Amino acid sequence: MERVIQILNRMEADGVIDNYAIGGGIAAVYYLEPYETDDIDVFVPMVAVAVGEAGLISLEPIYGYLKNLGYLPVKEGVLIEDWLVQFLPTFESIQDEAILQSRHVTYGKTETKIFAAEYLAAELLRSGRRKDHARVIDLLEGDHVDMEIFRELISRHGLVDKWKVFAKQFQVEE
Amino acid sequence: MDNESFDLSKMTVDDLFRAKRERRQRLASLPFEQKIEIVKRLQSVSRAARTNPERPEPKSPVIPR
Repeated sequence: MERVIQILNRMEADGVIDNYAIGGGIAAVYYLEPYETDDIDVFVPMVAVAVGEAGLISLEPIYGYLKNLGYLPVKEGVLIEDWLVQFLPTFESIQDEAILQSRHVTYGKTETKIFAAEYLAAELLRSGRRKDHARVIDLLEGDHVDMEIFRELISRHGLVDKWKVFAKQFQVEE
Repeated sequence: MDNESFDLSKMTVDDLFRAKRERRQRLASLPFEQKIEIVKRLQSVSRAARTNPERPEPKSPVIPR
């Protein structure tokens, strides 16, 4: 995975993306026990991706850059050194802020950025799939999340209603 | 828990849950690089299972009318 991180850092240095942070399953593995996850979710600010005249988002600059390095699109991502890397343009305020407030982490000898636990939990809550909710529970139970920061986040990003439903469903203290 | 002290008949459900919780905490505290190695191994096991030619075809669920 270190090679993937090196490529991401190079993309940022070359201005292909303005910024990035890893979220999703790999970010969860950073805090939790390892479990199977298929891809690396890389969140990139919306401004970093091209928006066409019709307002459609194009990942062409990212895909074109990677193609020149010999990495080709596969399914919904790009295969980089045996990892399926999915580039996800931000479309929610919580995601933009998660990138800006990401945690700097060293993997091997390479620095990367990973969603802070509070942002990861909030984004997984927002995403709301069953497996996302399972990760939120794991993050909360593992004391990875500062609840004061988390509550402030969900309040500011309009996730309070989702949190109330979640807390009731999983019997978590609001 | 070593084999000498392991006595299944004396284990309670609480013991099992505690052991499971401790295992998860131990795995969570591994270095990130080591955790990613485990993820890669899990992926390869899953891939091997999916591509196994002897794997039975998944049955379609029968929806009662």
